[in-house]
Amino acid sequence: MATAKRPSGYLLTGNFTETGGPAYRDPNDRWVRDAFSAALFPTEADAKAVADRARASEQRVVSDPYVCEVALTEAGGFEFKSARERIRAGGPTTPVRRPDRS
Amino acid sequence: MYQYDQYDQRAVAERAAQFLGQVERRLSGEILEDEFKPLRLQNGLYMQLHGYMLRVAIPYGLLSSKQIRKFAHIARKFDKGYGHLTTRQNLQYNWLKLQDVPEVLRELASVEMHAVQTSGNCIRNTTSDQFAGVARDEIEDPRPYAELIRQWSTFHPEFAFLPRKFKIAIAGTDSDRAAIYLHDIGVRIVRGPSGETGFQMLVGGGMGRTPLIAKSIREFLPKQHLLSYLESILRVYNMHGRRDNKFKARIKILVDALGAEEFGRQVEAEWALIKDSALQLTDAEVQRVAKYFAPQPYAKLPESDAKLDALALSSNRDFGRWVRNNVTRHRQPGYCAVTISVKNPKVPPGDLSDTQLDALADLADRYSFGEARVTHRQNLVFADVRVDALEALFKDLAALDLGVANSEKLTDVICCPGLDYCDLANARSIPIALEIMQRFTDVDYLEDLGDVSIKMSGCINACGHHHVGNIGILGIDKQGEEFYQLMLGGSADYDASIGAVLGKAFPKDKIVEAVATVLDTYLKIRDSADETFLMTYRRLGAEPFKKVLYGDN
Amino acid sequence: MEIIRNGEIVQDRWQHVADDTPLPEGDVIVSLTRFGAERDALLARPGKLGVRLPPDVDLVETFPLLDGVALLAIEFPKYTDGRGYSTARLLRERYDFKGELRAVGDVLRDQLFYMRRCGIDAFELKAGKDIKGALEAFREFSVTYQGAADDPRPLFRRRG
Repeated sequence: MATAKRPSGYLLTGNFTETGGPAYRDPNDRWVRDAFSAALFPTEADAKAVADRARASEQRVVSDPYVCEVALTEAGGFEFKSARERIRAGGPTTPVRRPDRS
Repeated sequence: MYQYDQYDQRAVAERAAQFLGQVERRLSGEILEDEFKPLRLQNGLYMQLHGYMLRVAIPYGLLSSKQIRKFAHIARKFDKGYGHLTTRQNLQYNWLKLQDVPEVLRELASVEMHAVQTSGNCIRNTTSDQFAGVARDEIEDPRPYAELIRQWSTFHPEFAFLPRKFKIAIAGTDSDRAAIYLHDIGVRIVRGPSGETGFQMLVGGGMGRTPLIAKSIREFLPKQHLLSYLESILRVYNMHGRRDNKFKARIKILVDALGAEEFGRQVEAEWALIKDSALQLTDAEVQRVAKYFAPQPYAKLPESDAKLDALALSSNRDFGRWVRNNVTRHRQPGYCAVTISVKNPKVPPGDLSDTQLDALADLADRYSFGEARVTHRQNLVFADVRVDALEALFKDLAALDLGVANSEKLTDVICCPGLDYCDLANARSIPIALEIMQRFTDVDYLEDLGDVSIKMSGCINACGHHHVGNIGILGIDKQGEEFYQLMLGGSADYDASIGAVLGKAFPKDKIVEAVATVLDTYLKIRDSADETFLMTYRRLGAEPFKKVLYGDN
Repeated sequence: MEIIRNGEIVQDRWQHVADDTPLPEGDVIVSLTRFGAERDALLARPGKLGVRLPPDVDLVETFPLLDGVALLAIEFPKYTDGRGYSTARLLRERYDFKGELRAVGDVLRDQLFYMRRCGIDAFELKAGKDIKGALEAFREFSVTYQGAADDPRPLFRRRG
């Protein structure tokens, strides 16, 4: 069943150099863990320009920054378009906590 | 097992120190990620979805209790309390911080371990048979040669930047528990014309995008030439392997393109020029290494086959089942090898907590001369257990949730980390494995199904060996959503075969049902309970399964 | 420009010359293509001659032509292209080349130890890289398992 294609937004993501964990660039130009604090760019070109700058000068904080296309929701937020990005943002979907640990 | 001498110890210590320097330069910004990446890969450090993943080398899968305790300690101190066993007999940590990795490497070096060359386009861990040294059908113990290959390949200055990764496996028995036909180089110990042992050399096997079975390029290689022959193969590959396309860069592509005969000719031409060089193994060195793999100080016990048969029919049904499925006959009277299933429906396959690791170290000391082996099915083996200790061991394992009696049965799944963890993945694999383990819990049903291997990968890189599962599952990405291809008929044994995809991929909520349908079909069409799944498939082909799954579409 | 030769930082007196550029005086390094086209003239001129070898050089065909060449520059277009390591070893161990073997191209500190083991004795570090820091790379390992151009004996023939 076809659904109307939702408009796209673009955010910047990468991995924290220190922890290897997913990092998202927020509207204050900081890299944060929470995907849903990410700044949304209207065009891919806008986002790419910032990604290129980050790749050139922010490598102490973040590795391999790249542009990620997301689907904008009516409520003003966004959703990730791929399972991969959803899992990066949300963490593994399988048990991490060992059952025999307190 | 092998003990490091001062040279081995210094080598890993210096490597850990080198990596510390590289990490410091990365963290300070002196080197950037694209320069740092191959360096960290050569030390087994990946950047995954949620954190750095370190792959620790476990040479030919062999571990001491001391090393197992160190794994537990590292998991506790630096990670989230667990480690993951892989299909190449290694262990992975998923949550390390970059600045902790040099210290982790130092800790590993203190127990004669390292993460050298477990990633990157270099020669990886040489793997072997989990029953090496104890199997009844063994021609000769492959482990001394695996150790010699390890030393030849580690820090090899010529082969650190190959076209692609390179994996070697060695087996010494009549049944291939090391999947040597699916490796870049497979070494098989064979008997020569005068009864002496030597090596059959296989090249060009592998899975991934282009699965291929290895070809023999030399039927019999006298032992002293092992290293020079390997060097010749690697040199030909280094110089002529494709470097234009990452997906066509393995040696199997080169062997396939040239043909085994021409490839073998090039290797032999190169080998002729170096076979009499200093690379030739000396008797002294072979013996020096072999003595580390001398038989354990076994007690002199009476023969125990009848006893094992009796235990297999124990009135304690769980124990009996475990003896039937997880215990393997041993060449030493009174002893057996125990497969410890690290396949529990509550945790991802192959994962061991720090608590379990510590307990296993104690159990290894108590029951198996302080040693254990990692298998390429992501399980552990205690290779030298007294038959008269089996009941006690079973009880101790069951208390740790490690007493599942499913070795080589359906729920002994092989499963890669998949999209839950891995940067390369297209789909998740662990939830599928867990669903299968949770759905098929009827132990009588599992025993009736018999030996059937189910292997799943979250992407075409095939770390879950899906091509060679009797039932193989490959996760794919269709427009951002996870789908699963189902294939049947794969095998990693000497009669290796690549599984054939049955048809259209299944969505995530339908794949396990499809597997159930395949199993039910097997039960209906097999000609007896003695005909395994693979035998039935080879007899009747894919048609009966396709028909049931897809109808006449 | 500064290069590393025999474990020291020295001023380089060799000049790389492009295929279509007239040759200056002094010691020059030219491409294999140019060498093939102008071999006699290049060997006859005063000043030493160096030749750049591409990663896919066929030494069986090429080496016999290199008589009189004092320096061979092994090209590493990307540090991940490891063919130069085999080329270097063969030049030293099979063809017994005695002149300078120099690594050029994408040459980074963390490859130097292995390159030297393979018989390379001079290094043009990639532009912008810290040449002083790079010298430490040679000291990073005191143990080697394999025989190579620096010592053909594997460790097992040196142990004890």
